[in-house]
Amino acid sequence: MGFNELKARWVNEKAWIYRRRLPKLDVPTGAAAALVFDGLDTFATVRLDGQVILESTNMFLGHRLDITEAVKSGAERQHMLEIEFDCAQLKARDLRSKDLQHKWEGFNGDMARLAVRKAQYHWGWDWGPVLMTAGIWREVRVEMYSARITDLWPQTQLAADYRTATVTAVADIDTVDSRAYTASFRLTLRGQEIDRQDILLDGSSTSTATFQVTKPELWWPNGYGAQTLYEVSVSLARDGNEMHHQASKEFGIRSAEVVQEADKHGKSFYFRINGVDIFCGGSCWIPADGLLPNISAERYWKWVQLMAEGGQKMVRYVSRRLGVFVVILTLNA
Amino acid sequence: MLYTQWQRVTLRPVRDALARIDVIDLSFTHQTMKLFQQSLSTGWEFKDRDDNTPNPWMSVPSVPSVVQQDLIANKKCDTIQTLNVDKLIDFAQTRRSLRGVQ
Repeated sequence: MGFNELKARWVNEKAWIYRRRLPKLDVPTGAAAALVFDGLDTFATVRLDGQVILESTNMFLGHRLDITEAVKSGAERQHMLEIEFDCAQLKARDLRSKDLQHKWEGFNGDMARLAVRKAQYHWGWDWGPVLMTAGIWREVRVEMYSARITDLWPQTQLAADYRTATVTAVADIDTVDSRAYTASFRLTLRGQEIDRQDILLDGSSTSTATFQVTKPELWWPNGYGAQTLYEVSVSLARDGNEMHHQASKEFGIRSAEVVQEADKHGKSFYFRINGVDIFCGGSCWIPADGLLPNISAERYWKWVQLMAEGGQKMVRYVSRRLGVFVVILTLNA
Repeated sequence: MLYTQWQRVTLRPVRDALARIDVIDLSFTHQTMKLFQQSLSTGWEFKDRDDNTPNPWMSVPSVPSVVQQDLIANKKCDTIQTLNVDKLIDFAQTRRSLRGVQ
């Protein structure tokens, strides 16, 4: 156990510039090029060939920038992408000084942190050091496409007798050209197709497929039964033969209720899954590393496996960015 | 470079179609494109914004990253043990043994 974070405090007071050249992009007619940031930490000014194309002040938001025209002009050369990260510690104090009416109250760290949409533990917490991170903390990529699926959202409605379920899959679609695309939805269980639907998009940006599932295999919390997952996928094609983009999502079919009824103590608060009352055994999750990109998906998964093997059913994820502690996940072993 | 990848994904259906049909609409090759994605995880460099010395740029091993990781990789900063649970457990055991507790 060392205290090297004390020797790294000078980093917190600096501003940083990251840069690289964009790969050469030949954008075909009828296609678009986008620069996609899944997350920038935090006061980021993005320049392409010296022109400001984004000013971001929220670590938790992703950004999608249309760079079609920018890369088409001067297509013979490589474009310079530069990101300036201003000092969040100083920016926070500056923002705080501009609102003297507000009561800046809380605990842990400098209360100026409340002015910034950045992980609040970066200002120090009872379990962690002061580490004002800055950087491209989530993936950045370039995309080219004629059409893409921007979101796929399965919703389930389980009948009161648990014998049938309705699965509604909603896909949001972004098309660059005005051609007609077909969205092909598939519902599968353990790789076996249950049903499929082809829907002509007809210029619409949303496509919805509805499936009926008889005798659904229910999803149960850890220790109460199997964690059966269905999968819904959607693929986008034009002229019936050329697949442009495909997306899929796994989901469980179950009912979930928060039971709040008057009892001898006042009011109950517990969960009922598929009609069965669940013991809320679990833990509170804090960031697994002060430098978040150190944590790979595999390491996250190992932590979740440990919880499941320990018989836990729930994780309270502490969402400090909104100042509320509300998100409760049910473990999926 | 990218053009080749684009050709691979979009021209193959056209090439296959050539064997089957007589009328060829070549505009097809220019007006449709499968989603192409390329992560910009490498090739980055970074510097202290206010460092005006002749060569302030340092290489970034890979993105996503935060600046402390990139400084550690460039030996400008010592490794920071942050929330390392193994170390915390060692620390707790050391404290227990100091107090004579099992």
